[in-house]
Amino acid sequence: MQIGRRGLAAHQRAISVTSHNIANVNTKGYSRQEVLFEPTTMPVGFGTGVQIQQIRSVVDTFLGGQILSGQSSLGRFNAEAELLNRVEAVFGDLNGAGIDKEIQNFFAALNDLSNNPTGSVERAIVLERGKSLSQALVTADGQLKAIQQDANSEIESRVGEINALSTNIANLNQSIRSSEQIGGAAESDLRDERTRLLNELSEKIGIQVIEEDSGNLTVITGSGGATVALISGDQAATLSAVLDPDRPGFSKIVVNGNTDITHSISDGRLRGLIELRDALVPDYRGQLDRLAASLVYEFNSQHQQGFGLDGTTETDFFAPVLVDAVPSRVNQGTAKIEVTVSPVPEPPDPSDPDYIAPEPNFGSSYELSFLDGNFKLRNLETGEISSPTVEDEIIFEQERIQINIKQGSLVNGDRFRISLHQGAAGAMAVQLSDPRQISAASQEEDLPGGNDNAILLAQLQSKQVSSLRATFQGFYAGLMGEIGNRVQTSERNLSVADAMAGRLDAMREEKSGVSLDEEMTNLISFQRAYQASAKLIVTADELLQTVIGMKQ
Amino acid sequence: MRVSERMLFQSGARGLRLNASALLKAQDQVSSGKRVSLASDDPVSAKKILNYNKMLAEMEQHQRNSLRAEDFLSATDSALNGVQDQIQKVAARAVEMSNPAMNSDDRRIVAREVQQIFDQITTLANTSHEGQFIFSGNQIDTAPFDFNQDWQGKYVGAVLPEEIEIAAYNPDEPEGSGNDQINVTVDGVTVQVTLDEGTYTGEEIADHIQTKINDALSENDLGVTVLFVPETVFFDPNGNPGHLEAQSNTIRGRSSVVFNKVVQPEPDPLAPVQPPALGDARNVLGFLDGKSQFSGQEYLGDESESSILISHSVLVPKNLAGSRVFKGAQDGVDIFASLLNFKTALEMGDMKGIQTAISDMDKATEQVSGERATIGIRLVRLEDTKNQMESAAALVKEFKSNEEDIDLTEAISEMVLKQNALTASQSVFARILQQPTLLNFLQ
Repeated sequence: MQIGRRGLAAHQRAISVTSHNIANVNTKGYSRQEVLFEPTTMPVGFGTGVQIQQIRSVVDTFLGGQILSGQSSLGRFNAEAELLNRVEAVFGDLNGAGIDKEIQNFFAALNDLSNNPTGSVERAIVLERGKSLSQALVTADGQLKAIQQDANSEIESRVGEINALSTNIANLNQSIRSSEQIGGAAESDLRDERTRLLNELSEKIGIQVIEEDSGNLTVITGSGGATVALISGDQAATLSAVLDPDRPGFSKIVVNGNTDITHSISDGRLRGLIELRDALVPDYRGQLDRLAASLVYEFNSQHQQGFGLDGTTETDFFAPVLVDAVPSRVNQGTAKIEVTVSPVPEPPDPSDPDYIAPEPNFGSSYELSFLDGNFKLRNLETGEISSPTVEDEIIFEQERIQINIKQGSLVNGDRFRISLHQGAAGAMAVQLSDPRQISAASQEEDLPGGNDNAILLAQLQSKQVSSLRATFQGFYAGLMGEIGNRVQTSERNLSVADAMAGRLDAMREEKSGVSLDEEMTNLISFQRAYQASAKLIVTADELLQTVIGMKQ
Repeated sequence: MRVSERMLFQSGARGLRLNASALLKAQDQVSSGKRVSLASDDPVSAKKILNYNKMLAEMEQHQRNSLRAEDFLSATDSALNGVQDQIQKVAARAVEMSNPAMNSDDRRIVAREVQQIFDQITTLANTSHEGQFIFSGNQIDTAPFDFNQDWQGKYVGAVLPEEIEIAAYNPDEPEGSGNDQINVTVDGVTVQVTLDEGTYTGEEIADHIQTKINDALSENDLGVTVLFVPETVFFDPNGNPGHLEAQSNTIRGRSSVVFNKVVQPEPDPLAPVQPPALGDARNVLGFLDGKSQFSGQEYLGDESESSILISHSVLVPKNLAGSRVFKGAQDGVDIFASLLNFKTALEMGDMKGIQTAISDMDKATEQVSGERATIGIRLVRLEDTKNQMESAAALVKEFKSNEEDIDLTEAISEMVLKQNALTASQSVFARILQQPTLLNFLQ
């Protein structure tokens, strides 16, 4: 009778586990539970029935780690692909509109001007095309900046979500530990929930999970030497987004208010956003700046050499390149410094036909330092150091850099960072307002019909510009190809990550998912066992009845 | 392998999603006809396409430049064609008039015709194309030759013999021969001077004329300088006292200095021409031995030649300077001067002058033909470049199309494949949905 009772109890429990499984057939992240029976025996050695040894979740712990990293890549490449698609849309030249088209139109207008240098319509069109070219560069730069800002605000809001998730996981850690200490049995459902939250967390930020035998869980993030514990047992660290003084307008991510982990986050959506905001988009903007700066410089240089219809000369067509030097944060002085391209230096030997005047290098970065009353300029790529060649005006002739202290004073040891092209795309504008001043003639005597300078200006279109090592349009096509490549790579990465995540999920499902057929089979088998156990009790009862009946 | 319920549904759903997005992409390609519409569709092709776009746009622009130049050159050529016709007409007249049988009436009529041709050629030389004078060099807003009825040639002086004889003035015959009286108008003041009888050298006659004129002008505080430049006498009507050094050795037209009204009235075209007598003041003024010297028209443009860009680095010159075409600046013939000289020779019955005109007109014809040939060569060059560029453009278009456009057959069959794949996964999914489970059999 006792054997039957144990059988009934065990199988009733098994049937309830099966129902639990069936009920959760569509629950994401649910791990099916399995009942392990064991026989009970008397010390003398004969069996006394069955009992449930354990109800366990069927989980592949090794797979769990892989799923986390799969989620992280998925998050990262999702963010990257989403934003890169927006970046790509800024460069929409293949659909007939964009910077390339504007450059083309501008030079076409110059060709037309060379055909009819006195035409007021031709002149007005050159001015208008110049304006729309400037506008196109300003707009593209603005759109890229907006993408950076969007990435930044998403980073800020994701930080809050990550904090909420970390807190939940830490709380779950505590619940699991305490309930497992009391009950001694694994809390499958709480663990499943924790796994689900970890998956969600890893989609946002790359994490590594270390689970101790005690059930204590530590989550760390970061890579290389800069790893930080996000969750340690029931303690969750707080991430916060604070303004980054090195990147005006953008936030950095700090843990518990002190450790900056912005650039050590190795994976997840945050990594994707940060990489885009701090590496990819700034690179593309820098290249646009180089294009704008060299276009302005090359065009103005040629324009200055010609004469307008009204006899004016040495006029700038575009507003000249003018940038602010970025002071180092440790500067003690208050000086604000403006940097321009210096005039073409006089050749040392005017009779030397092989002399080539130095060109400004748009794309190089320099460090200007003020030491013992002297300025020094260091090229940050080559490490070359030079001194001003024209002392009273602070001009570095070889670099074609001219320094102008706008306001404030310098203190010994002050340093500044200088890139001649920085911000050129965003600041591009046509300076000339009178179309008559467009210099089509190369000599005053040639007015009004002279078109030599207009031809030279038009020919700039096919010039190999030294600081771009390409033509303007060639450089731009290169930039576009680079962006296209990057988008393609990130889309490919995304589809790999997606396939990987799908595959891992399938593998998890294969092991842990609920199969209705299987559960039905189990249900029937448990039901039969239950019925048999009941029958056993009836039989035992009948046997007993027989024994009792014998007495009468 | 265990198969859970979620596996079945998820893999089915995933298959549907992937196949649907592949189909969408294929559909996009077929409907737009383009294989690459974003750089990421094929970065290498995208770069090439941009480059081809640039090449095509440049070629288009260069063709546009060529067309503009062609228009300009055609306008130049048709003007020169007109000039050539007129010159040939004059040449024919010169040959006719060289016949001694022709009388002075014939010559007078021809002289008037020559004057008309002169006007005609001046108009042609002032041809403008799209509001720009084509023979002015870079001075496209200035007519190369000042077309003014009062001013049809500038007198630059007379060739004087070593010595010149001036006969006594005969007041009874003021309009006849033998008088040496000239009327001079300076700044609106007209005086009449009578030259003294005598024999003069070049310097002496210049000096004498100057003294006479200045004596007459002295009460008006005006004066002129008359210089003897070897073989030529110059008058400077602008030489105010004290500014005698500042003279230019040109006389700006009859409007400021009027010579010889007395001795040379406006010719009556039908009146018989009197051959000038030696010693006549007209000799001083340019008709001696038929060697009168006219500058023809003054050229007001410049010598510049502007060019147009017909490919990256190839420039084709566009215009011809009027000084070269009409004034023979490069060792050629001054067409206007030749015409005026011919006209004067006709009026004077100067046979030598008529002979000179024949050879002048031959040279002028050659000169204009030469310039037309230059224009022709330029036009051929433009045409060649244009054709070359057209075939290059066709090639580039083909390259571009190879990169950018889809092969429609291929793309459609690709799309159908994708469609089939989607249909297949849909039907598989439907089967999964309908697949009986163990439950179906457990009634």
